Amino acid sequence: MTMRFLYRFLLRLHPRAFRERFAEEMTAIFDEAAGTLGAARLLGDALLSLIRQWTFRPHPVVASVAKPSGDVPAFAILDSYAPRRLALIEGGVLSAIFFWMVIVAATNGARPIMLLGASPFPRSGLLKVNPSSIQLASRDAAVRVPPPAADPWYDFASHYFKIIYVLGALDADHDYVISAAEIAAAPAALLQLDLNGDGKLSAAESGFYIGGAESIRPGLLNGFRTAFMSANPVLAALDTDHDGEISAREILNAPAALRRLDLNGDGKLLPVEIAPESVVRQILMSTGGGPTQTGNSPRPLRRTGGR
Amino acid sequence: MREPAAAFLPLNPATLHILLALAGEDLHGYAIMQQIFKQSEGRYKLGPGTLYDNLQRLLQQSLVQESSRTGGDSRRRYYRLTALGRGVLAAEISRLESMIREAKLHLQTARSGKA
Repeated sequence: MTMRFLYRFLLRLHPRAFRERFAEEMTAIFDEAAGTLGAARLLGDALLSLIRQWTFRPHPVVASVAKPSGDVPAFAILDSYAPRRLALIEGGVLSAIFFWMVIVAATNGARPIMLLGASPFPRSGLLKVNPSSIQLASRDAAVRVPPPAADPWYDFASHYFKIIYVLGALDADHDYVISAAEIAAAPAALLQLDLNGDGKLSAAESGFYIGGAESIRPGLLNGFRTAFMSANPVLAALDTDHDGEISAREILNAPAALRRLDLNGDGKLLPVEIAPESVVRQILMSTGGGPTQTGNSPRPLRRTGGR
Repeated sequence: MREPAAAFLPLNPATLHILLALAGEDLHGYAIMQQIFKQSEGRYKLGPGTLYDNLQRLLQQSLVQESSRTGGDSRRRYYRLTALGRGVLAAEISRLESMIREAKLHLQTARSGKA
């Protein structure tokens, strides 16, 4: 009796079209042949049939229509290419598994919520803002109007100076050029970023931000910090001992370090001189290497100073 | 142009056995299974799952149709070969005969070559 129940259960799992057409006949065969063929063998056969039906056979979707009345013919809609419900579920499950595997691989098995990047705003996990360190602009401060858009260097710098806090601090007049005066005033400007007052700038104080940092292995996180500090020419130039932070001594020596980035010797740093190598290459290729308003001095791609 | 029956060839063993079983008379599912067991001299045992999986396809291809014959258990349905099904079976048998003829010829050639 149990075997018959199991057999009926397996038949119920078959696609509807098949079940409605053949389940009764198959049950009749089970009733008649379970003794001679063996109930277990018939169960195995039904299981194979179940797998075969859901895996290999297309299942037409038959839309029910009203029964014909009188001479009016009735039609059924047959679409053998409609996706099976189980196929949709299988697809959903496989997609979820694949998505999960990608997330796990991307997070190295850690908690799978992470954003890697830089942010102009302090986030949880970063040091709190110390209001006393914020210098209010004086009413008569001269602010230069930045050049209009359509300049790739301007577009780049307007984002880059926000992301890299150090650049934002150095560029007091917000013209995306570090002038000679701003270079000279670099130590004071940099110390504005020292939120915890320890006299040096960590990667976070310099603009490094990574979401879900607490779930990342310390070794890997340090790697990200070091990569951040070395990938940005100004940070790399300031962090002369490459320890991933700008020490008090390095802050003091900042003007000299920054002047080493001045490739054309005009005494100021243009975006073209402080952009990462890949950005310089990309923008020079897009502009054909011609002069632009904020990056108007094409330079050799390989730096001779700095690291 | 290709014969309509030729489009179904070659037949897989289960299909060939089912069509052969139905060539004599209209049969219900269990009788088809028994007939296949008998005509293969006990070498081929078809389960109901395999049988109805194949029957479903054969019905869709119009090689088999449901018969009006009834009898015994009301749950039973009888099946019969259509004209197309009979044509396909004949074409398959002809193909097999030709293959056997060819095989025999090769064997004879090989024997005479050795002698």
